[in-house]
Amino acid sequence: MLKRGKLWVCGLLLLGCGRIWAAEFVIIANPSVPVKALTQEELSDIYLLRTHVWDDGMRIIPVNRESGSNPRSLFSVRVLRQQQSALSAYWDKMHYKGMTPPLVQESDQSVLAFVQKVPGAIGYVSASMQLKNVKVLAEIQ
Amino acid sequence: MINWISKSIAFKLGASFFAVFIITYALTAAVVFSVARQTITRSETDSLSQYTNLKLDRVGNKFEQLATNLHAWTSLEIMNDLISGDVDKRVARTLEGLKRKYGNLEGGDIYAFDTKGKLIAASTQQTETDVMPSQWLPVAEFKMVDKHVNKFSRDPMVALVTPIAASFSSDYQVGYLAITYPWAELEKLIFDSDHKMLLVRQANPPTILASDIPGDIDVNLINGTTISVTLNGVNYIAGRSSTQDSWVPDWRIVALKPEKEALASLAKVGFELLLLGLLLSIPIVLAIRWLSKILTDPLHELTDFVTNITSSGDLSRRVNIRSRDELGTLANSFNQMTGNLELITTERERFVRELEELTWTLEKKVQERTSAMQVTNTDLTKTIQALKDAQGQLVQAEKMASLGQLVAGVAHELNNPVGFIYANFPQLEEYVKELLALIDALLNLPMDESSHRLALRQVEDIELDSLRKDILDIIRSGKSGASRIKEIVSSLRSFSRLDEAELKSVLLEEGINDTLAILGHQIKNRITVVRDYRLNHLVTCFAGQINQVFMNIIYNGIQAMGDVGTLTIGTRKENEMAVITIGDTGSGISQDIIGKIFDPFFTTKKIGEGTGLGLSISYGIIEKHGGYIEVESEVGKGTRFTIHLKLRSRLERRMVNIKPASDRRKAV
Repeated sequence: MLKRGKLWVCGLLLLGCGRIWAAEFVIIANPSVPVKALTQEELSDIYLLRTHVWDDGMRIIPVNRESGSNPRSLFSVRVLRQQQSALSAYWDKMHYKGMTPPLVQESDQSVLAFVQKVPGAIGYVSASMQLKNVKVLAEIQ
Repeated sequence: MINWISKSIAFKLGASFFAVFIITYALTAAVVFSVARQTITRSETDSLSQYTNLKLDRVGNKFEQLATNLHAWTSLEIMNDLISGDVDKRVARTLEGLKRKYGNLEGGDIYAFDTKGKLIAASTQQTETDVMPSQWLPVAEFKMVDKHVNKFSRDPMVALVTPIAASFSSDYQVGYLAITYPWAELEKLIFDSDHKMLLVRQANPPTILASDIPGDIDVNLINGTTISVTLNGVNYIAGRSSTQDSWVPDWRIVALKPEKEALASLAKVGFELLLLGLLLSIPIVLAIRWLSKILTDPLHELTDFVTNITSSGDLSRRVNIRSRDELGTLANSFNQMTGNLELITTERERFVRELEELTWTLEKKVQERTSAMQVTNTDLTKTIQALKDAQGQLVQAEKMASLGQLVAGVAHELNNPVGFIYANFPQLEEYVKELLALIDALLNLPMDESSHRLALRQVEDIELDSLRKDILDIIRSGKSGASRIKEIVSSLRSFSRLDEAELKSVLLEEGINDTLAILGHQIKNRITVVRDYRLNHLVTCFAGQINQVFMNIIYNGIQAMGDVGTLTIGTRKENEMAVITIGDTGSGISQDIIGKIFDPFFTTKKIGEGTGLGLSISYGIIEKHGGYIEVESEVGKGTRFTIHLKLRSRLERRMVNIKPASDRRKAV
C-alpha cells in the first residue's frame, strides 16, 4: 500500500507536468481523498476496479459520465486506453462479480456536485468547469 | 281428562309415546337449534374474524407491496443524483415515470428528499413546499406513517418513508424516499358492501380510523369480546381480526354482519329440524302404533279372554302365551289362576255331582231296599203261599197218588167185570131178540081162542110192545153204559199210567179221546168239541205222560171257558213232527202273565182248584220228548196251545240204556 502511494506521487508529478498543455478535462476528487495526484495507471486501476480504497482506507467512489457521451469516450481512450464498448462489457462483468462499476452522472455539474459531497468520490469534468470544494488530482489532455 | 282416562290403553300408550317423542324431539331440536345458532354465530364470528384477518392481510400486503416498491426504488442508481440535488432532473423524471408505470400509484405519490429533508424530486408537481412534512420525521429507518393529513395533500393518507443509501455504499445516505397512499384507497380495500367495517387503532383510548357505520360506536365493540351488537335497531354479529400486521400492528378491523343475514342458514336448520321431526314422526308413529299393538294385543287377548270366561264361564280356556315379558307372566299367572279356578270348580262340581249321586244313590238304595223288602215281602208272601200251595199240592198229590192208585186199582178190578158185562150185552141183545121173536112166533102159533086170548091178554098185561121196545132200549142203554164203563175204565187205566213206563208208538188221537172221555162230565153238553185229526201216524212216546199233558191243557181250556165254548183239537203232521193244537174260546191269558204260565206253582186259580204245576209238568214232559209247546192267547177270545212232538222221539234211543223205573213211579 505504501509502495503504491509512492507510485501515485510519481503519477501526480507526471500529470502535473502535463498540465502545462491545454487540458481537456480534469480529474477531481472529494477533498477528503488523501492523495494529491494520480497517475494514469492509478486512475486506470481505480476505474477498472482494481483499486477500491484510498490509502487511508476510505472507499474509492469513481464517477463516470453517461455512455456515449463525449467526455466518457475521451476518458476511456485517453486514460483507460480502451474502447467504450469493451469497457462497458468489462464493467458489466465486474458488476456481476459483485463490484460496483463507476457511477454515472450525466453532466459536469452533477459530477462536480457528487464529487463535492461524497467522500472518497473521484470523477472527471471538463477543464473549463469552475471547480470548488474539490481536489484536482490530474488533468487530462 | 275424563275422556283421556276413558280412552283405550293403546291410545294412551300411543299418545304418551308420541308426547314423549314430541317433547324429546322438541327439546333435542331446541338444543340442536340453540347449538346450531351458537355454532353458526360462532362460525359466523370466526368467518368474520377470518374475513377481517384477510382484510388486514390485504392492507398489510398493500403496505408490503408499497414497501417493496419503495425499497426497490431506493436501490436505483438514479437516487445517487439526490447527492447532487438532482441537477439533471433524472430523479424527478424517474419518479414521474414510476408513477405512470405503477398505475398512477392509486392516487399516491413518491417524494425524494435529500439528507437535509429538502424535497428534491416528486412524482407530482409540488409547489407549495419543498421540505419533508413534519409527520414523517424523523426518518431513522424505514417507517410507516399512519393515517394523517400533511401539506402535500388535503386528503388523509398513509406514507412510507425510508432513507436512501447510496448505491455505491450502504453507509452513505443520499436522502429519503417517501411514498404516499391515499386513505380513500385504503378504505376501498377494507370496506365492502356486505359488511359494516370498522378500522381501529388500538390504543388507549382506541381511535377509529375508518368506519362505514353511521352513528356512535360502542367502544366495547372494539375492545370487548361482544359478538352481537345492535345498531340503529338492527342486530349485527361482530367479528374481529385476530392477527397483527407487521406494518400496522395496532390496527384492528371489526366486521359487522346483519344477524338476519348471518342466521339465514339458521332458518334453514329450523326448517330442516321441523322437516326431520315430521319425517321422523311418520316411522315413530308407525313404530308407536306397532309397539302399542304389540303391547296391548296380549292385554286385549287377556281382556277378551277374561270377558269370554266371565260371560261363558268356560274355565277350560287358556290364554295363548306368546311373550315372556310381564304380560306373558300375567297371562301365565292368569292361566294358572284359571287352571286353579277350573280345578276348584271341577272339584266343586264333582263334589256336588258326587253329593247328588250320593243322594240319588241313597234314595235309590232306599228305594231299592224298600222295593227289595217289598219284593222280599211279596216273595215271602208268595213263598208262604207257594208253601201253602205246595203243601196243598203235596197233600193233593198224595191224595191224587192214592186216588190214582185207587183208581188204577178200581179200574183194574172193574176192567174184568165190565168186560164181562160189555161182552155179554150183544149176547143178551141177541137172546132178547130171539126171545121176542119167539114170543111173536108163539103168539102166531095156531091155538085156541081162549088160549090165544089168554096169551094176548098176558101179552097185553106185560105190555109186550112197550116191553119189546123198552127191553131193546134197556139193552142198548146197558150196552152203552157198559161200553162207557169200559171206556172209562180203559181211560182210567191208560191215564193212571199203568202202562206209562213203556215207550210206545201210539196214535195220539186215542190219548186225546181218552182224555176227553175222562173229562166228559166236565164237557157234558155245554162245550162243543171239534176234532180235526189229520195226523193219523204213530208217534213214539211215553203215552201216559203225553196223555197227562193233554189232560192238563184240555182241563185248563174247559175251566177257562166257563159255561159254553168250543174246544178245538187238531192234529197234523208237519216236517216229520206231530203238531197238536188245542184251542179254547175262553177268557184268554193276559200278555203280562203269559210268560209265566209254564212256571212251577204259577196259577190263576183259587187255592185248591189248581196246583200251578200242571203246565209246568207238561212243559217238562214235552221238553223231555224233544218237543216244545207254544201258546198264543188273546184276552176275551181264547187261548191256543200248540204242541210239537217228534214222530220218533229221541227218547227212543235212550230206551236201550235206560230202564224207566216204572215201579218207582208206581210207588209215587
